[in-house]
Amino acid sequence: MAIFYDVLIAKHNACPAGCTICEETCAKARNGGIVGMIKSVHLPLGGVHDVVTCKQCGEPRCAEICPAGAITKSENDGVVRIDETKCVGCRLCTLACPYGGMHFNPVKNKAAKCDTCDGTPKCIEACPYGVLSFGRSRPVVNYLGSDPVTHGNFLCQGCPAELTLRFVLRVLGKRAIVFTTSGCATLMVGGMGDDRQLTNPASRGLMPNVASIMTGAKRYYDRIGKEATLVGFLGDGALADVGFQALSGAAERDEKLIFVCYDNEGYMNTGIQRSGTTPYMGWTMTTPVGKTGKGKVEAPKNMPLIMAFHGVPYTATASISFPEDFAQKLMKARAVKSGMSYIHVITPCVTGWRAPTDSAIELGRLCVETNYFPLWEADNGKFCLTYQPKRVRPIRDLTRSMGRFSHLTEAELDEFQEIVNARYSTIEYMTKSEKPLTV
Amino acid sequence: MIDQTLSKRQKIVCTGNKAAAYGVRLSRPDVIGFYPITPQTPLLEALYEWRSAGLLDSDFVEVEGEVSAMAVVSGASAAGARTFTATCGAGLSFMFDSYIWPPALRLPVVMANVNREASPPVQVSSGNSDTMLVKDGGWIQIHVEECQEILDTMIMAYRLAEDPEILLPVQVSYDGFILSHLSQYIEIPSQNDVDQFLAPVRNVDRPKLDPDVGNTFASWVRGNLLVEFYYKHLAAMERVKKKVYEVEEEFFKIFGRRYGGMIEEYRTDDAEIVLVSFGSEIGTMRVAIDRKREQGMKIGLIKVRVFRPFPVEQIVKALSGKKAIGVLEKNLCWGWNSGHLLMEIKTALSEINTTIPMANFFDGMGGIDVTLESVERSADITWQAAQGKPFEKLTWIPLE
Amino acid sequence: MTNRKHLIIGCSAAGLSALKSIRDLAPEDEIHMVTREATLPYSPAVLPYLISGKMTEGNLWLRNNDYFTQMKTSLSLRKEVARVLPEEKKIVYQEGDAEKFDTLLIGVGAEPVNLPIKGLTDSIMNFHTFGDCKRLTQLLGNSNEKEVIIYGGGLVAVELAMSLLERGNPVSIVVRSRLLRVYFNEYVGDVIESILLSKGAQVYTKTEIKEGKKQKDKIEVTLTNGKPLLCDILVNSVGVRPRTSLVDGTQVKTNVGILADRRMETNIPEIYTAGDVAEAPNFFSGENSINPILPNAFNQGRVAGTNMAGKSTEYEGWIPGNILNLFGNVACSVGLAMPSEDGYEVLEEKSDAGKRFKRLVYKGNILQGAMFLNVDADPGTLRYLIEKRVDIKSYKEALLEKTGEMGPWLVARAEKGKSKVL
Repeated sequence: MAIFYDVLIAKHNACPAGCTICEETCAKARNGGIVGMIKSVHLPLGGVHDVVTCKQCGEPRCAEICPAGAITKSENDGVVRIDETKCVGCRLCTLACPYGGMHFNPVKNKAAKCDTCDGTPKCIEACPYGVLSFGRSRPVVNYLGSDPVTHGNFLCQGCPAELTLRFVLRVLGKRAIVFTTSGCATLMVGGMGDDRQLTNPASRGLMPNVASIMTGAKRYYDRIGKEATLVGFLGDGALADVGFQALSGAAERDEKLIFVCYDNEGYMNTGIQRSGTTPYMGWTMTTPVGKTGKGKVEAPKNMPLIMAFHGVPYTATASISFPEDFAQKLMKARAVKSGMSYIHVITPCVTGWRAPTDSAIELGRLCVETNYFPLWEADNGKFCLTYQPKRVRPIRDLTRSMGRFSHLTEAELDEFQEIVNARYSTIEYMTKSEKPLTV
Repeated sequence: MIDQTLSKRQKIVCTGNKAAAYGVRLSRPDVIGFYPITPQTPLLEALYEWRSAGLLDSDFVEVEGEVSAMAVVSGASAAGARTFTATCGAGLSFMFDSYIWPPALRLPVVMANVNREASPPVQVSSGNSDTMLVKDGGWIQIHVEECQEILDTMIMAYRLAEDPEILLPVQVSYDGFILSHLSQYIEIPSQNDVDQFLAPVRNVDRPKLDPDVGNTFASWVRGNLLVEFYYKHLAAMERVKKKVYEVEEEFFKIFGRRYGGMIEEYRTDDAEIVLVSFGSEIGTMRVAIDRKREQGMKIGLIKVRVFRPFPVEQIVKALSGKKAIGVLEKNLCWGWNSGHLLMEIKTALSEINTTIPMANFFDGMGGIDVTLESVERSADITWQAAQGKPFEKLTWIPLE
Repeated sequence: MTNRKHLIIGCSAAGLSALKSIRDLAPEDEIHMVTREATLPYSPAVLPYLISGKMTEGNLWLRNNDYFTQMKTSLSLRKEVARVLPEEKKIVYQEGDAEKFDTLLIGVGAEPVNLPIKGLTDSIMNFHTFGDCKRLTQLLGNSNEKEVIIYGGGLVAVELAMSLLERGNPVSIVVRSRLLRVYFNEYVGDVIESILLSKGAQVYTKTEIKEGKKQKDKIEVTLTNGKPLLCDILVNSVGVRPRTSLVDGTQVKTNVGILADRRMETNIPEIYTAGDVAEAPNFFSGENSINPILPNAFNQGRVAGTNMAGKSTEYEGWIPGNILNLFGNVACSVGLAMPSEDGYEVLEEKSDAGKRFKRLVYKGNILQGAMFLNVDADPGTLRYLIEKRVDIKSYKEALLEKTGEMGPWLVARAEKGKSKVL
């Protein structure tokens, strides 16, 4: 059952004195004028002018107590409804509801209560004062169930890779088998001794070959007809560099695997060394800034584009700072049955990027809003941008938020901005193709 | 015409690679992961031919490199599959990263190594430098002499690997080109007989990677737990020594063939000197031994079959009381100015605190033929050593 | 952590509530639910409505087999427990077989109290179970000619009378004191009586049935005041008492019902009790007593189940609460509506013409009880104020005046933490 549903919201004590429009509208629209299922409360001496309505409780007492089994909470929309064919009019429900949300239709001799008019509440339409509104729950919160990753993992303070793993597993579900290798993820997947860190099944592998280990396991599950979702949660080091061969081979063979690359743009777990995705001019221990160095000299690999150009059924970029977008992409990835899905997740390593430990989510947002890391997907060759910032921010907003670019001169920052613009144009260009691209 | 239904035993002429392929096919692996490399490729070709003819329904994964081939079968085996891979030479050295995975995680993978020289200068020839590189990777290693033994040992490998008391991967080594491409008249067992032989290990209960069970495979371990893994691994290796005989006994009952277990002794009872070796040269050496015997030399031969775990007890028993030992091998141990086999036999014999003179003979490297003459020469040198006369500790036969 | 085996005797409100709690907290534990009933679970509270036709048999069942499968619970019907063996942690069934448990919930409910009537031993029927209900339906037949005497004046008796009157049958009620004496005061009770009379019922109060005899198809009874009555069907509804027979004579302590502490556990560890059979602490005084109403069964089952699953929780104590919808007239009493001791402040409002009555009982600023007849009031809100001991402060009169609005508002205020909760 989902946790958050759409719900009727009333502003507290915001009604004009004596107004009963909502109540009358409800009565007229739903009960032939006999009884409204929303109640206005006017207590002039106390200065109280309020409205009371059913809260569609998570564990409704009225449903528990009804001896006729006439009251149920829908799994679909969370609304608590009365089945009039079963209601005998005993009124025990009015004894159970502590909020005054249960009403009674004396003509029908049956209980009556708010059912949000199945999603388009008439009272909201009728209220001219904006007291009532319909709060729509955002789909992503449906995934915020129990945490599949234990607490107390020894990752850096503020690590977004950890948040990303928790989110990925919540969306993909507890049966997804997680594979990872040496790198930051190993500290939250590998377990310790005979204690696991995950409630999901998991396996580590060696850096060059995780994609192949996954291949073997998935081939066997398919052979015996066992439904299994395998997700490789691996860093840029493992996927763009030392494990690229295996990833590329698996992509070409259409292995039915999901890969989520947490790209922190460096070999962070071993102490911030450069990787194939470290940005141009970015500082790392092995691309130092000093007398003889000015950060990384080479341009990074564009991993998601490379994977899209393998022709895999689904490629996308994502960020934990945009959870709905991420959740949708994970669900798309899971639905792919014909080959590999690859999701490249920008993962602002606060330690390696030299940023405040509480800034990871904000950095993720900045990466996207500056077009440094645009959010796009290639669905069977059809490229599209899944999010476009209302106002694109200058790259300086990103570079000034972290230390690894602090050595850049104004001219270099201008150059950086041009590079960002040019790379973005490439993605934009791909999205403009009318037909899906075949590679 | 070969009856491809394999409904009854039949004798056919086929190469070592094809014999290995039959052994694999009859064992019905679930997942086969591989990367082609000479001289292993005809083995794969045979499997593929049968697959496209609908005679073999394993899942094939041709990967992009040997390190992935071993990883694929590791992943599949972890999920519960019966698996197979094959390689040799530089493929085996490239595979090494993944090679250490199955034994440490107790995955019963079976592989064929079609022995080929590994190191540069580049070689596409028979040799043992590849298999010796990985001798301490933790696998069970068995070296075979001829094509019938290749086929039979492939089948026995599954029985051994998947035995619940063992659960270790098995590498079956046979010499590239000399055996892989040699045609021999051998017997192919029937499918029913092999199914019956392998029935005891179908679906052995072992820890598996399972979407419905929240276990973590290959987790982090700290010191104590790692040592425990090692301890159990080594204990399993020790159990192999007995299990090899049990498996062979079961094999003999159904198929009527046996190979002596850990080692095979040939005319060693009253021998004063013994030659020791493994691999394809054993065949030549048997003939040389017979010739020397005709000439009155009291000489015997030991074929080391299972190299890992090393047959310490059997070697000690067979060699104690002998006057000299000649060890023929086509591999080098860089640290000891000898071959690996001589070094390991020496260490084994230290158990009985003996000083039997031992002569080492390097022959067969780089695909060079081991001839009757060179074996006889080795026998002569060993005989000299038995007389207490000075002798060459190490003879480089090809350089003579 | 090994999985435990929970055995639940009884599959009505208490048992079902406990089942849900256990399953929620211990997803892997084994649960076995047994009942002497032959059907899926139902609530006895709706049985009168089966008589009037407002409820149909198809809609009666509160849970189906899928539910028990989903809850990984095995349900055994027609399995009556003869005896509990506390020391051995075992129960013995009527058929003689036994079953062990790690934890046990005794939720067997109550059984009808039978007042013996001289001359009539087998002509009296009960109205307590589905089986009883079916028998009554059969006896009533298709017409509404059969005359019925209901012996007793509790809620079940009144609801049954209402159902029979709706059906058109002639109904008489014989009650020792007056109607609904336990729940409502004389004023409300009198109004209820007058409503029944206006619908054609005969009501005989302050009298008992002295003796009776069968007269061919009919039953003839004589009341203690000498009045003779004739009927086709005589229904016993004088009251219920906890069905403690399965623990009588064992180490499990009983009084009127099976004694339960604040965890709904009996004196024997791991043996719990809930519902109509349980004698649990009272919310107001903390003393144990029986109060066999549906909301209590539910809450007690939840507390027992939670503790059985290993998570500790306490029962706040039972609060009486009853509501009656009599031909559109709504009578309700919650909490201590009729305190016998001093120290309570009682505020009342009534209107004879409108047949309306309102009463609130306070101790200091805390609401203790309430009683209504035909007024705009949400009884659930008042129960909340009682249970949470909400400080009503300066709104005591206002709550009486505009109960329907003040009730929800005071609850909302309390939820926002502005009121002091004692």
